[in-house]
Amino acid sequence: MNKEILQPIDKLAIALIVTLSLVIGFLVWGGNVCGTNCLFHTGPKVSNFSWQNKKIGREERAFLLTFDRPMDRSSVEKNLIIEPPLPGKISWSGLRLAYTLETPVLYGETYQLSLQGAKERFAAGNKSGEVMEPYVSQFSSRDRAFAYIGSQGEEKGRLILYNWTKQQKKILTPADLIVFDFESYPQGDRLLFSAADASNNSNALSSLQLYTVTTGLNSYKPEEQSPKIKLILDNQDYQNNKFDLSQDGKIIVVQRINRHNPKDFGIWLIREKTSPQPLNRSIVGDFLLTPDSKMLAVAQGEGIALLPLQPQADPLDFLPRFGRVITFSSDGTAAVMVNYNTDNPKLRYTRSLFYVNNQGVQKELLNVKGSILDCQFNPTATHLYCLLTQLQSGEEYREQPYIAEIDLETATVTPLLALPEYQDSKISMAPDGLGILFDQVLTGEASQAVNAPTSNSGEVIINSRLWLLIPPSTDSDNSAKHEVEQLPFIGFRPQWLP
Amino acid sequence: MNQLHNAFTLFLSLLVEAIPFLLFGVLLSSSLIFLVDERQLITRLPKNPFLGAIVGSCIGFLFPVCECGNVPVARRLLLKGVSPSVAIAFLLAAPTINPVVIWSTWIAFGDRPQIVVLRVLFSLGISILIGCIFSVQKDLRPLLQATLAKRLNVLIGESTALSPESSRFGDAARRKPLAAGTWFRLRPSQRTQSSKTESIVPQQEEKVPVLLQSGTFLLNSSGTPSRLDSFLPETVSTFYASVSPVAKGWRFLDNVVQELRELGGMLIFGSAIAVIIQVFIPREFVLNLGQDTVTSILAMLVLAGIVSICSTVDAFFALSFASTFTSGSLLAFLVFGPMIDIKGIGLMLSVFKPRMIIYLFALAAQLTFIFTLSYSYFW
Repeated sequence: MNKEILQPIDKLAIALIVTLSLVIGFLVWGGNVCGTNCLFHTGPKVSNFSWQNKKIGREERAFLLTFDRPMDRSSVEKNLIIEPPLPGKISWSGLRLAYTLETPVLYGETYQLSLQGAKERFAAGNKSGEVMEPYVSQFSSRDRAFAYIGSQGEEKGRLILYNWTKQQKKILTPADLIVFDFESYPQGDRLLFSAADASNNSNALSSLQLYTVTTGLNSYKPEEQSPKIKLILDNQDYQNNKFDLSQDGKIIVVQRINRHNPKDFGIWLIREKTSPQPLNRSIVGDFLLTPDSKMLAVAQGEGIALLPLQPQADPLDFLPRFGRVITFSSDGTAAVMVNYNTDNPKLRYTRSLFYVNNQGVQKELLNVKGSILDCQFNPTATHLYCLLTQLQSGEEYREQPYIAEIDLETATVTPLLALPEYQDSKISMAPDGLGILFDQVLTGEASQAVNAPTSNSGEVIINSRLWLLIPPSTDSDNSAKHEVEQLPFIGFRPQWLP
Repeated sequence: MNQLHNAFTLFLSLLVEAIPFLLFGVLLSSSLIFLVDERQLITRLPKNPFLGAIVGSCIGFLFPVCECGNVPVARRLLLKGVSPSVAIAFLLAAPTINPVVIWSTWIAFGDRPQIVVLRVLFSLGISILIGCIFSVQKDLRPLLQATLAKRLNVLIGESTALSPESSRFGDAARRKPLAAGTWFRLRPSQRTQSSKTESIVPQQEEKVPVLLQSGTFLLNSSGTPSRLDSFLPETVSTFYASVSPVAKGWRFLDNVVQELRELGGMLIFGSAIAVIIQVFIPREFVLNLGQDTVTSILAMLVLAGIVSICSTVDAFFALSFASTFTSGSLLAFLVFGPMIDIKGIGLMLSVFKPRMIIYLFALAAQLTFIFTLSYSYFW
């Protein structure tokens, strides 16, 4: 290259190429002489852990651990430690390890995940590379908590939150509201409840309004600890009856009747941040939102109709055999329904409980001469816990309530506990499977108490107790016994928060 | 025989993948002649090399071309007289910094957003840096292929005649087109007006600069262009005003065909070379070079160079290595591949002299290596 051809760019480019080569040489040399504790991080590391410092609940069933390069998988699997242990399965997708829990996490726990000694792996052969930087991270599960309606003293008719993990009790609603029913939002941070003004003694049931209240659960912010109440639906022109909240917390359906025109009744839909809209259906039967929050299962005629949440839409499906949907599994893949056996003369006056899943399976679990009041799946949807009644023989019509466990695979029914009196109550299964909450209420005549909460059948609740039934472990041998514990709270309608 | 079959398949797949983008680039380049007034373009572009490089890098957002389409556009930009920093930055950045490529990278690596972001940032950084480096060379002609340099001479001659202050190209440059003497003619109307003189007049008499319009001139390097059209437009505006849409269409088509013939030939040549290398150096061999942080980046740099995959789809190709290669080496592939590959070198040879390509290649490879290794070390 003679002088005439040598341009400015030639000089600069050559100088830069030489300089950059030196920089590269320094970087490569630096990387080679560096140990594990050095400015240059040459070893593999965890680049992301999806549960890092998170509060997790029953809906979170798997975490992802992402590495910054291909890893020797067996060395990672061998060295991954979670304390306290959380059994699960490991699967891989590229640089990501997915750990799927076999059972939901126990609530109120802090877990530590640690990984050290795992090695990287390169495409060439099966040679293992450098050892990774030790990784330690923490995550915790939500506080174990439940809410109920108080029935004594200053708690009467008010919503009470009990944080089991922190052993704290908190009254959520003011004394001037008598709470009738409530449901929790998916994170447990808010409750949706129906309540009437305490001053309105005569027709409390017909003057219900819907409210939300914040619980302050799983939050460390002091400003979120005091409950904040917000009116969701008033009772101006319509009387509000039964309601249901979708599992994603975005939709509320309410059964309403026009105060001036009793023929104007049906289901109303309240979506987030929109005003209530009628679904324009004269639905009188029981209804339940499906877990995917997209449909409404309604008892219609002699069957269950699955209706989309759009006005005037036709049913998506109709299940003619069943008269009532009791509950869905939390993942929405299965449900239990009641068949009233009206078409079978031999089985008349009996009720059959059916397990129905999205694979088309319809399995009869039991047939009772009595009532099927409520059922709940356990978190892994392998067992069902039901509040049932058995018709007693004798001249007087009497039903004996009891709680039973049903193995969904074998359809074996195991009665766990007989209850002394007929109850119209519901049961609530803990999201982590700890136990079943239920109440035992004493009712009396309406004249006996003023401003008192009532049971579903309209009787005034005079006294009540809360119970916890801890079922026998489903994976242990049959000799394991269940335990029943009376909780030191006076109230009714207890519900675990998710 | 099997290898030959594979080679032919690879060759065809490279072509099938690249030709639509080349065609798109050529269409865009040809439309630039009519749509963009060069004087406005040049006055609007920043004079500062750094700002020019930034603008050049981002032009890709307006012209989403692949690495096959960017060469004709960059060539056209150079011919329009934009500064080297703008043209070089565009050449390097346009295949990556455009909506199509960013979107496809996002689709492939949405779960690792840092790869998408860093691909854009590293490409921008490297393009701007190299753009700035090349801005020290005020006169690009010594680095361009002879035919292109000759063509640029004409333009420069014009512009210097019109603007005395732009004397940076020197007398030789000014004299050369005049010496050739057969390049510009008056339009018929002007010819009649100046019928006393010879029909070929010095270009200084032109009122406004005239750009060569199509590859016809470029290909004919014999000294006397084969098509000395008497209706050669004086400016874009007068061209628009005076030429019928049909004539305009013909000219556009003519330019497209010429550029396609020329660049298409280079693309086929480049693809053939890329295929030969891939047959002799199988991908597996290159991939096996990746034994640690440093060598895996090197392996992916080499792979990016030889597979010559188009930037619009290379993210999906890289995704297939996601489970076996480090993020740093994937980034190296995604940053370096669109800038320089063997197929693209064929196209670039139609514009630049080999030593210019060596500089581009070496600087881009070194900067990519440094950036991605730093990412591996410090991220």
